[in-house]
Amino acid sequence: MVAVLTTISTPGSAVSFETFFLSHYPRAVAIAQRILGDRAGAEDAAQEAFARFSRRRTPDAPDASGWLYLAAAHAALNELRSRRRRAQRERTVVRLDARGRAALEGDGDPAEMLARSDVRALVGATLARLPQRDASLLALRHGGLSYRDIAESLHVPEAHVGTLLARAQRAFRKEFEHGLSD
Amino acid sequence: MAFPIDDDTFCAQLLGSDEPVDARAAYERFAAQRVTRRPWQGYAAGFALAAAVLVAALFLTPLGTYARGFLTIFEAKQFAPIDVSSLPTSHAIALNLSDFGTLRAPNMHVSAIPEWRDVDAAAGYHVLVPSYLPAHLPPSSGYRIAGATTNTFTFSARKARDAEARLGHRLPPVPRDLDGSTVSAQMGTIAERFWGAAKDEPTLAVMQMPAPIVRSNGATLAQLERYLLGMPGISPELAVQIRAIGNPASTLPVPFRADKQSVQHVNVNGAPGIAIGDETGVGAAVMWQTHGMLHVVGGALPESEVLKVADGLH
Repeated sequence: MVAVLTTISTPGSAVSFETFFLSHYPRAVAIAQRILGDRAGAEDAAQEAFARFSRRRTPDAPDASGWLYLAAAHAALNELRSRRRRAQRERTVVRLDARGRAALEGDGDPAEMLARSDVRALVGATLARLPQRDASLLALRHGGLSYRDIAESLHVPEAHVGTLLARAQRAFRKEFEHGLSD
Repeated sequence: MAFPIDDDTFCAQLLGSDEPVDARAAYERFAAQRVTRRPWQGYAAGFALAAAVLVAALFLTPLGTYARGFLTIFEAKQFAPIDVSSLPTSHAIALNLSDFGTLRAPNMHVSAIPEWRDVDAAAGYHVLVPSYLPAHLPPSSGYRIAGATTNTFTFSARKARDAEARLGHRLPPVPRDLDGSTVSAQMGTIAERFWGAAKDEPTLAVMQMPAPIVRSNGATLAQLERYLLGMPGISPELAVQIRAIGNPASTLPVPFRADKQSVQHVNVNGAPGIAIGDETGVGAAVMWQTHGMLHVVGGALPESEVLKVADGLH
């Protein structure tokens, strides 16, 4: 029987890694899922982000959560590009039918639309074509981060986040619609 | 085509929504898969590192580690964690034990043991077997034995003076009573079972060895302690910790870094020991002593898992 008698010290971090992991894992998955579109891939990307984090940061670092979330976005983008390379070799064709278009016009169920593999593929192709910072910004924002958190992650002034986000959303939309007209 | 919704809604719809996530299960998975190098391995990975913690650090490494591995003329029976965060690394790099005397440290002879049934005979004592193992351990595992060794160090006032002149550091002079005195550390045969990469990054290592014994043909415990505490780089805080060791003749100081590791006193099946966890929560080691044997269990695992393995040894 192992009995813990006394705790002599705790690590320099006020927050343990385990606590940090449990607190931030869901958000890291949410961010990665915005990019990859699937839960399993997103969880793998989040795990990779935590592995990188454990090598380079401690939970009490001032930018800990911001660093982690951006790492999750980058891990997901890396995986997305890897998938895209495979898809291109397999000559995957991406087309959105009338039902998908209706959903985007607010006339259908977005969740149902996103369950379609061709829609997810087009979203992925769109994100992969965007500059990394724009794609990360979209994932961070739609993964639930506030403007302040995004500013911390990307090391930009908070006042600039709105402008950068609007630009990224516009670019995403333009790329996506361009993909539909292909 | 253009959709009649704003860009924000457009992106929100296409980028999806959240699903419930089981963070606890994810953490267990993360912990199980971590095999990268961790601070715990300074305590438990491989014979050389284990020896560094237990005894041989005193004899094998530069002055910084000399201080961290401060040992006395003793027979290890209990443990005292010593926070060495304050030790500067510059002295550790610049100074070596050879600056203060002559070290004789024969290499340990390490041999793989193909079959578990042969381990007891090779070790010369009964090697405990784990009854609990964490899930997701790597399938590869093996057994190793490191032969018994005795390391000696003979103090030399002349060498210390030469080093001082060469390095330009002011060093404490070797006391007359220490000059020519030899301290020896007797290490028994170490037996290890490991899972994962054998060389230096096993996921789990279970080690056992007879408690080390340090002897001297002249220097007393008090003299060694006084000399050590006069070394450059020994902070007042570290000196206080070393002086505070209750019974230095039987207490093994175990260095740790409070800024990166956590330490707890534990009791493993009635025997006193300490558990050291790293900052990530997925690297830990526990060491304890019972019936004249020193045990170390460590791995790239949560501390709770390492303690369970220790608890289950029989």
